[in-house]
Amino acid sequence: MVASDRALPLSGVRVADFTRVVAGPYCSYLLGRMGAEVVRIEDYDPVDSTRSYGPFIDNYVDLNSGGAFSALNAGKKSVSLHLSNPTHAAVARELVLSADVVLENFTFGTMKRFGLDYESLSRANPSIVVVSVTGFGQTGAMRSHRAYMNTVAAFVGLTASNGYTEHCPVPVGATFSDYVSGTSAALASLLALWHARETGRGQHVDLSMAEATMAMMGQQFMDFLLTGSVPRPKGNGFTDTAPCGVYPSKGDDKWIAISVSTDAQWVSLLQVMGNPDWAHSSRLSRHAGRLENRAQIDTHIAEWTRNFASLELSTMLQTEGVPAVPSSDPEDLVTNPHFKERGTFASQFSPHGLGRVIPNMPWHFRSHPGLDAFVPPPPALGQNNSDMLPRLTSAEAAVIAEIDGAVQRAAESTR
Amino acid sequence: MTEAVSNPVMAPAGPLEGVVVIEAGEGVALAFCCKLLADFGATVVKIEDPKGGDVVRRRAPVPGSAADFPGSTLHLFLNANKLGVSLDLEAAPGRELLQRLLDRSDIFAAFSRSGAHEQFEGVLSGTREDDGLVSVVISWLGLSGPWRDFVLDDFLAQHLSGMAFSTAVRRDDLGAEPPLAAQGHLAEMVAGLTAATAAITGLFARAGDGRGERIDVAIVESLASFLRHEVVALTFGAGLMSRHKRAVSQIAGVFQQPVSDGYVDIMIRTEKAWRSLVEVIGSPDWANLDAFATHPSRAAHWDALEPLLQADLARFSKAEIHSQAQSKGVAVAPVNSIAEAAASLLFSQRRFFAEGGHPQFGQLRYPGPPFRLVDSTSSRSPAPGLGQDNQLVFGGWLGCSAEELARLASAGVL
Repeated sequence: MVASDRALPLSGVRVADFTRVVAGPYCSYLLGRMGAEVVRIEDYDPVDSTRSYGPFIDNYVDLNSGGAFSALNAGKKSVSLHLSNPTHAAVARELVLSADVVLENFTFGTMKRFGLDYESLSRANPSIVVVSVTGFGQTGAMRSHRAYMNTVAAFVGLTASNGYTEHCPVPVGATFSDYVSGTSAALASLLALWHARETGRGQHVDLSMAEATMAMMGQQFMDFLLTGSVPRPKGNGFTDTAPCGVYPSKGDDKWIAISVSTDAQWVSLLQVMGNPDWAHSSRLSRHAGRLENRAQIDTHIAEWTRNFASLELSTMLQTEGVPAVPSSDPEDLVTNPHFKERGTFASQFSPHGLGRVIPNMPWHFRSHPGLDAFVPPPPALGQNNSDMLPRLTSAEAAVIAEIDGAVQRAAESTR
Repeated sequence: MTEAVSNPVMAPAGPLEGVVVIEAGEGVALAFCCKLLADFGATVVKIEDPKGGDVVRRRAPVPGSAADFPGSTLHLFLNANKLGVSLDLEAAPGRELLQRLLDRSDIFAAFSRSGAHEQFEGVLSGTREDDGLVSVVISWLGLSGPWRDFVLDDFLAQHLSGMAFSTAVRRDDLGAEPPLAAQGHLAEMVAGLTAATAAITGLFARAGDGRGERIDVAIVESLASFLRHEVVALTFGAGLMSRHKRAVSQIAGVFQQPVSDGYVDIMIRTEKAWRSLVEVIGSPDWANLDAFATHPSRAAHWDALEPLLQADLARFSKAEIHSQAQSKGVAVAPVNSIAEAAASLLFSQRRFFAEGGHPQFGQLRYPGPPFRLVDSTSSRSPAPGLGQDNQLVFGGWLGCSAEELARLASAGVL
């Protein structure tokens, strides 16, 4: 690992993180990897459900080592408090008031019930930034609606514009709304913190996952607002170029994506294919002719591509100037030579000393090449109770001991 | 902060007031990154090639008439609130003017085309990151690595990143339903959001020690970062997940189901939520069967359960099941079209859509930013014409004389 001579950009920033599951933790993951001290304030009854999601390395089931939790909570600290207990809520408040940014994704009204709402906190610390992430926002007719990433995407129109046929929409994958909302929350946290440092005034950012998702659909909404057009599902054939699609390659459920948009790329593709007879028609030498005969071209290409592995064929085609890539499954992602060299996926140390590859960071800072090499481990539940609570709060030793006991019981009940 | 351009255009106020961003290059990701910075108060100077400008200007659909070409809807959306100049960066005088702009700027945001990274390095070599410039360079695959010069587009980026695979899970026929990319420049929009976040992080770095930073944002990696559950399923020992409906071992979340007038999406994560949903649909007898008593047993018997559930759901419209289920605390939402979403009372209550005047279209509504901040307004000034602000930026700000500007224009540099 190459050490940097610079502190990480967010060194000295403390984030009090009440978030759970995906969107909020991804936000605090980004902030934490950039140097912020992220303190998860999490319950032991019940624990964040992500701690129970597998898979677990070698089937060793515990609260601290599951894949889902590890992938989203690398490098954070953990203080465990049961907020429904007024004593614990008071301790949480002290901890929160030492922070610069507070992240939460409870249902509407929950933070107020714990005495941790923005109005109350800002009276004690006017520069505090609170970012609340909910499905549909803290105001409006749907502020109390239960929401998850798929229901948010459905409501805002993202799902309806996607699918193989017009008759059955298909939700966009990778819990898209969660990660988009998490990234948006990171941007919001940074901008609000920047503003607080300039003015001395914090704020409460009300981040709606629905609006964060809609902001990613700018063209669709702009088209609709200006022209009235509504996008319909078109499978992989939604571009106005041909051939452009996904074709079977060698192996079980393996595919290659090819996207030809110029006559020169078409000629190059045919050369790699060995100039097959079916392609000699002059109708196909121009874009309009290829669009018109798209289906027949796709059939011929699929007959050819299924003889090659997608990685091998993509490299061959790209060398000749034909845009093509493997349509990656997770195995393709972690074995891709380009991603390996760039540290797109990196090894994570774990409490058991076993390293596993997880997705790393979506950007690379030249001053910090070491971030590309490895990912720190996630925190054990309450692992920082004994160093943070006495230092930053007035929690009594007996209270801390009681909490540690409850955490241990929660951990043992999981195994 | 640098001395800001005196900007006659009404830009939104916001936390980035006084921050100057130079945008050089083309494409959706770069433009969206800089749009977000402009939306929160930065002065963004968008540099375009004098011969035609950003390709986004011509990407269909283009409203209005060809004679009076305002640019595509995408251009109108991505470039509101920006100043626009034309400058040939392949010409030496153009690069010299760029350096003078960067000397007065805080953030340099650029797009480096596949196969042109070395040429772009030449542009970057004169930048003064050690003196405090934050450079964010967006490209399809990054500035390093064996595939850095591969040619991509948004469709291919979604496939390479694994997003298309993840979209096409829970399928009946893997051959007929391959990995699926989504419309709407999804990869590029995510990369733009990612790059904006990275750029602000760079400003914090500079605030710490006065030094700038060089940040490399690959569009494919921005999206691949979302594939966490899918990758750890493999690397933590559960094996490569199958896209087939029957092979998915996750909890029976219910997900998308048909109703009388379309589809709804449902997420059941607890027994309480399941029981509430059953109550909403009238507590049918089948729901009492032992085979459907718990989450794991419902997952195991999903093939038998789903048609029974669908038969009962078919009695409801989207609006009915949405309202009744939410009143019981069940996460249900209608699968809305864009039109239905835009018309939703919720977004007008929350003032999601921004407004601004346009010389050709009158008052326009725009999709808003992902969130709002204190001291930020949601006004929109129209996307600039090509080279619209040359005089303001090169003359008024850099101090170029009228003769110099005329000479550069006649040489095709502006």
